Amino acid sequence: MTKFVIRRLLQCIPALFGVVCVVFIMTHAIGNPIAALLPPEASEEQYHQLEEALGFDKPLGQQFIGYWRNALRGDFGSSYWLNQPALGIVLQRLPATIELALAALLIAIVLGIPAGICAAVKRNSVVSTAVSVVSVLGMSMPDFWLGMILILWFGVSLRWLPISGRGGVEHLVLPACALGIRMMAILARLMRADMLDVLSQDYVRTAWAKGLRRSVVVSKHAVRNALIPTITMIGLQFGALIGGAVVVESVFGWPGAGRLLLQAIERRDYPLIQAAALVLAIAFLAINLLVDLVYGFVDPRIRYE
Amino acid sequence: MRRLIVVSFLILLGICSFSVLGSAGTSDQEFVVAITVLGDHFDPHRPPGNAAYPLMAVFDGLTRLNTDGELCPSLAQSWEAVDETTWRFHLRNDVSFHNGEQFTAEVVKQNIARMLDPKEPRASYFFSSIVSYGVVDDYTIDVVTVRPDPLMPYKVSGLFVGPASMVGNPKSDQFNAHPVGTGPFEFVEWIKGERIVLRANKTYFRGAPAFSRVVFREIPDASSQIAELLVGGVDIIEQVRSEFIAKIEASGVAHIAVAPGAQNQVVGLRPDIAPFSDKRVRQAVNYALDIESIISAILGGYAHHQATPIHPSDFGFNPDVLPYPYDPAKARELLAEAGYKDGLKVDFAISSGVGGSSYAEVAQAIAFQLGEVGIQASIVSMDFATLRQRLYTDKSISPMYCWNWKTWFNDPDIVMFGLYYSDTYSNMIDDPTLDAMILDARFCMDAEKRSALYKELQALIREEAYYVPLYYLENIYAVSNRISWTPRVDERIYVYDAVPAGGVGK
Repeated sequence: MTKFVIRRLLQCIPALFGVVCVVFIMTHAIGNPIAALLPPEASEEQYHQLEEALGFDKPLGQQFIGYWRNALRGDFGSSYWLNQPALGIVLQRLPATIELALAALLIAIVLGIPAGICAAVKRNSVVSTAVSVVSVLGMSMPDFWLGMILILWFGVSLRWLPISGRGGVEHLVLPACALGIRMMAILARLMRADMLDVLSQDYVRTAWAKGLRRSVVVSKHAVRNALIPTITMIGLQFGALIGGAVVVESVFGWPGAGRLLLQAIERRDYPLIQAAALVLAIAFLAINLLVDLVYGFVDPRIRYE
Repeated sequence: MRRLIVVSFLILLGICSFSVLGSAGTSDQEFVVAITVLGDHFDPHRPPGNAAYPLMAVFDGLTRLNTDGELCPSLAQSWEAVDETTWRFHLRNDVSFHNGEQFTAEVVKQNIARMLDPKEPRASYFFSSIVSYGVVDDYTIDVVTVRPDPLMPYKVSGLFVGPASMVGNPKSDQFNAHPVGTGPFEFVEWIKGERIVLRANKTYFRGAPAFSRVVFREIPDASSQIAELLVGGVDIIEQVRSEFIAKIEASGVAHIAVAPGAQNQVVGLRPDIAPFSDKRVRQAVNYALDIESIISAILGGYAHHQATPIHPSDFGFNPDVLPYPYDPAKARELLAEAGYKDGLKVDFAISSGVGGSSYAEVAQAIAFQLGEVGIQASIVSMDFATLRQRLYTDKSISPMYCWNWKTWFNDPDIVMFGLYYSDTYSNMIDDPTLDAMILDARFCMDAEKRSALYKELQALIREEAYYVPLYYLENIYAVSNRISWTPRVDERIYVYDAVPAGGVGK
């Protein structure tokens, strides 16, 4: 197990290296941020001074090596826009994004999985049809649009929940729903399909034949076996959740790292873009590692050698 | 199984009912401002940018501009030009900082020194003309400029003053951690990306503010801002789209406040490349556009057509310089003269970051009207950073592009310099006559002569037609009915101006 974790952590290194390389090349390929930093009244001379100070006059290869030399020392440069170390700014905003993503994940799991199970167990019933309809709707609604609708219903008309900002649990409900409902729909559909598959297996029939109660057959024999593909999907969808957070954070004024990344891109703030991309990539890899470890608990046949 | 569903439902229900207890709302003493992007710093000496509103609440400048943009005393009671290059400011002697420190000329001197520190330059280009400054007595300071600078008293409205203990401290982040000024509000907290909270400075030298607390909330999405306004979560929002006006007015909780804006919306025509290197083609574009109809059909009438980027309220405005009339026949004629009898094709670069939310529709109308006279303009949309980079640094922007420029201090200087002066890294116009006149006006201390120069300049830039001056937008604000507040011509929200509706004045 420890060996497995170490091996997986080592595998993360090339992935992270790749992320930083791609982000570096993509940001630098579109040009330099000097126009965003210098007032237009500045002279040609001031332009070249700033270009030199930021190192944009050097060849791209040299800039890249310089960047890595600093990055390996933990220095990701200072944000041009906020004038502070880029990594620090991102880490300051990360908890809000993680809070939002985990809440969305919770909603997706708590609602999606039972709905899928229910739809499979009560096949061809009203419940099953309802779950299918809601899942299709959930998957087809863009999250920003859903966010708007939630704001209008629960924020403006009913006035049950605050519309924007971060505060107590009540502030979390609407953004987490806007972000989590698509994933909930995906999990419900997947869970339903896998449950239907498992429920037709011989060992389930055997369990029924033994005269076990329905709750035992479903939860002990069927669900655990149907859960593996869903868990994989949770890991994969976490990336989509972080991507969605960029939009949802803007709609709900949520002070997270996703919105920070968007603002950094608008301002061509390269150090901040790179730091934010790296941190979000680490979060994604960490969740996927966690998902791999959860497999072992759900399915004892899986062993980490 | 059933138990699982019941438990999940209860969890959600619990969250919802908890939230009802803690739903948002503002108290009578609190004033909440929604802004799209909260300021990125609290340093009085860096260009304010998005941080302008909170900075203006915590700090004072030597002078200030009132709602109409007129120059008024602030930390300085009066000022005069001692000679062509020296401005003398007489300061108030009854002002202290939020931390109790005394405000004196020596403190102002230290503030200017920090702002112009060559090791860590912070100042906006407004102050680049300052060469020296000296204390005359405890409450008098001289500011000397390299050449005459008639706008210096206006510019020092943005010279925000911090206390000696913080200005003298080399740790530059002190201001960001806990800013201290002389302003109407004192700093309480700043949660990055979320909110800035200030409380009233009861001993403010112009009188205690009407609200005991001010909150600036970052709400990036325009629709969410309106939703917050309707439920009483915020008191004021800016840049309201004209199509929301009816809904807000009908809500019964908020009203609309409108003021002429300071942004000049133009279409740039690159004079350094074909086809717009020919003046006749540039003029043809001006004749081809029916801007009045665009304003009434797309912008709901909330804009003003202009002949040049100089506003009617600006110093030296020339009422005799009129916009090009809508004359498609004349446009065709000029195009034929210039050798484009069969029309021409051109790219038109636009960006969502320029010209407000309706600009895409305006651009389509422009392209359509140009098509009527034989100019086929293809709209190329890009993000703001790309547009600016292509325009300023790469010089690879298409021959036609959307752009805007802000008027400062009701004076043409900054806008003329920004849009027309050639000796910068960003401009593509190279017109020595214009350059000479712009510089002459910039350094002219004789108001009458200066005004005459600008009048002449306006006639000249209309004739040269380097830009199509479209309009300046009205700034549309939505304001909660519990607040009484008048919008400013400089597009800034100065929270000290707000008072409870029908309530206590200052």
